[in-house]
Order: sequence, then C-alpha cells, then structure tokens
Amino acid sequence: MQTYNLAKLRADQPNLWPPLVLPACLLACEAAPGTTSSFELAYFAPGAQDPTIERFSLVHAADVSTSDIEALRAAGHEDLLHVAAAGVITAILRARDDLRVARVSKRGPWLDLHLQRLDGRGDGVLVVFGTQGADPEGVLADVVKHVHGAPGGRKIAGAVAFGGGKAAIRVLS
Amino acid sequence: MITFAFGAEAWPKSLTVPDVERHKSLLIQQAMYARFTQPAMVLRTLSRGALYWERWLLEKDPGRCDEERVLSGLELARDAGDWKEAELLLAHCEASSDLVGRPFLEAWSVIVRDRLQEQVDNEQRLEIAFQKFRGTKSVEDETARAELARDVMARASEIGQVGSPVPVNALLARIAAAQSWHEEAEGFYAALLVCRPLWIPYIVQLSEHQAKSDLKRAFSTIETAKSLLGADFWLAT
Repeated sequence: MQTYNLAKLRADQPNLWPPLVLPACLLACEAAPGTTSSFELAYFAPGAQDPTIERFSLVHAADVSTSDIEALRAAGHEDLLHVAAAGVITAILRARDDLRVARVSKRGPWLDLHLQRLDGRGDGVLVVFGTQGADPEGVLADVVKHVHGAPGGRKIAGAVAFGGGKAAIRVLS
Repeated sequence: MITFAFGAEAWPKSLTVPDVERHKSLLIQQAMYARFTQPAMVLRTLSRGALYWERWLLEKDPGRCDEERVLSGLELARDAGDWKEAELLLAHCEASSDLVGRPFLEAWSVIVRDRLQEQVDNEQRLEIAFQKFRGTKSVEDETARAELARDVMARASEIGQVGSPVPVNALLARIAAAQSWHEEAEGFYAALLVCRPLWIPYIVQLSEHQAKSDLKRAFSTIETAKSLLGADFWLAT
C-alpha cells in the first residue's frame, strides 16, 4: 500500500492552493490534522472494462490553519467535496504515476486540472468530483461525461466517495 | 508587495508564460476559496484578475491551449460579472481561424448579449452615485459629508455583489481617497490592481496611499513593479 503525505502538495503542486485543499480534505474525511485516511482505488486503464484495485493511505497535513478549517466548515458547501476529491486524486496520481498539476482552468462550475509528468511532459486534463457515500462509480459516470467536453487530448476522470473510503480513476484515451 | 484579501497577490513572479500560468491557476483556486468564505466582491475581484491573465496568455502565448483559455476566460468573466470582457473574448474567437465557428461560441454569444445590458445599467447607476457624492463638495459639515460618502459607498457595494468589480472598486477608491480614508483607499486600489494588474496609474495611486501610512510598503510596491515592468515604468503614464 502506498502512502502519500498531503502536505507534500505544498511543494509538489503549488498551483493547488493548500489553504483550500488541505482543510477541505480534512473536513471531507472527517479527520484530524496529522492523521491518516485510507482509500481503495478502482483504476480503469484506457479501454479497460474492469478496474485494478489498489490501496492508498493519505497522511493529512499537520499544520493546517484552524481558522481555514473553521471558515470552510461554516461555508458547508457541497462543492467542498469536489475540492477535497481533487486533493485526494491528485495526491494519488502524484504517488502512483509521478503526475502533478501544472495549471488550472475553469470550465463550467468546476475546475480542469492540467497534469504534467515530472519530466515536464504534458499528460492531459483531469476532472474530479467528490461525494458522500460508499460508491464513487455513479459519480464517475458524471465526471466522464464532463471531462469528454474538455479541449485537448488525453482525459482523466476521477471520483472520491468520502465516508466509503473509495476512489475511482478512469483514463480515457 | 501588494496583497489583496487573505494574502492574494496581484502579480506573478515575472511576466513569463510559466509564471503567469502559475499565478492565474492560483487566482482561480483563491477565487474558489473566496466563493466559500468571503463576500461576493472578493470572488469577483479574484475572478477578474484570473480573467486578465487568461487574456494575457491568449495574447502572449498564441496558438497554445487557445480553446481552453477562452472557455476558462468566459467562465471567469461570468464569475466576475464582467460581460464586456466576455464580449472581447468572443471577438477574439471570431477573428481566430482556429476558434471561429466553435459550437460553444453561439451559446456564449446569447448569454453575453442577455447580460451585457445589465452591466451597462449598473455602471450608469454607479456614475449617478458618484455624481451624488461629487455634489457633496458644497457640504461643509464634515460629519454630514462623511455620512453621504458612506451612503454612496454602500450603494456601490450593493452593485459589487452582482456586477463587475472594476468600476465598483474604482468608485470606492476615489471616494475613500477624497475623504482621506487612506487605509480603505489602499484596499480598493489593491483590489483594482488584482483586476487590472498592469495598469500603471493604479500602481502609482496605490503606492501613494501606502506611502501615507507605511513608506517601506510603498517602496516595496514600487520595487516590485520595477522588477516586473522596467525601471522607468511610471513614465508610461
């Protein structure tokens, strides 16, 4: 099982703003700073019908500002789950495939995260949704629909079901 | 340096495409944070700033990610309530052989056409509000004049909940400056610089207000501007 420290987002993915992503991850996982959340990832390779199942542990940042957490908790917005899911999926992709976010753009109400390998090669656009529940598959179908409309070549859809500890990634060719 | 709400910066590290991409991405994330936690004006200001840089990238790095940048810019224009900027983006597409005729243009043209008049109306309301403030020059009672200024600023802030942050912040800055409310004026000029980060008169006016309370901060603004825009940047005014 791979472990990824979410605090590394600060260094690895400076375009994912930690004051937003890290407290959103804590809130969505109902976790405390410095603790670990586990996810079972269903990874659908391009064209695959069935996923490979992998396990990931994500260590939450220890130094998340209490005021940021409280501000987001008070907001109580469902979109926070999408932000948290983006944090989880990009952390998994960083650990799994050495992918990081190179830039962010807006499309519809959501964000398109443009991924890059550590060697600087571009590797497509990622769209991620988050949900409360046990199963990310239904959400993943919505993400696939949305990411199909993104400009560019390779597209990746991601979903996280918080509470169920399940995540899913589908790579579209 | 210039910091807007919760430490958001107006400027990238340098005017190179990678640094501007990073800065724009950060502003988009910050706008999302502001949507959850801040007054609407903060979201609109940060979105307007990100939109500025999307357009900068379209101009300075042409032929790369054009559709992505236009789509992102249109969404940011919606969030900023700046339909004039959206219209400029659509005009850019009409003039581009790569983008003309794309299906999303038709849908966005309808949205922009429907919303543009609202922005024009809001700007007229702002102008009327400002004229009302100018009319208070003859009011000798300081307290009464301050109350009138606050009233006009409140009306402008109401428009700021729904409209473009540029004319709203401009009006608020002018009134605060006229009343010698330097700290507030500085805040509004900082917001204006997020919206239009390379507009030199805003840089000069911001540093003037900073100098009234903190000379060191004013120097820092000028030095950063020099590193970004060149040693004699203010001569362009």
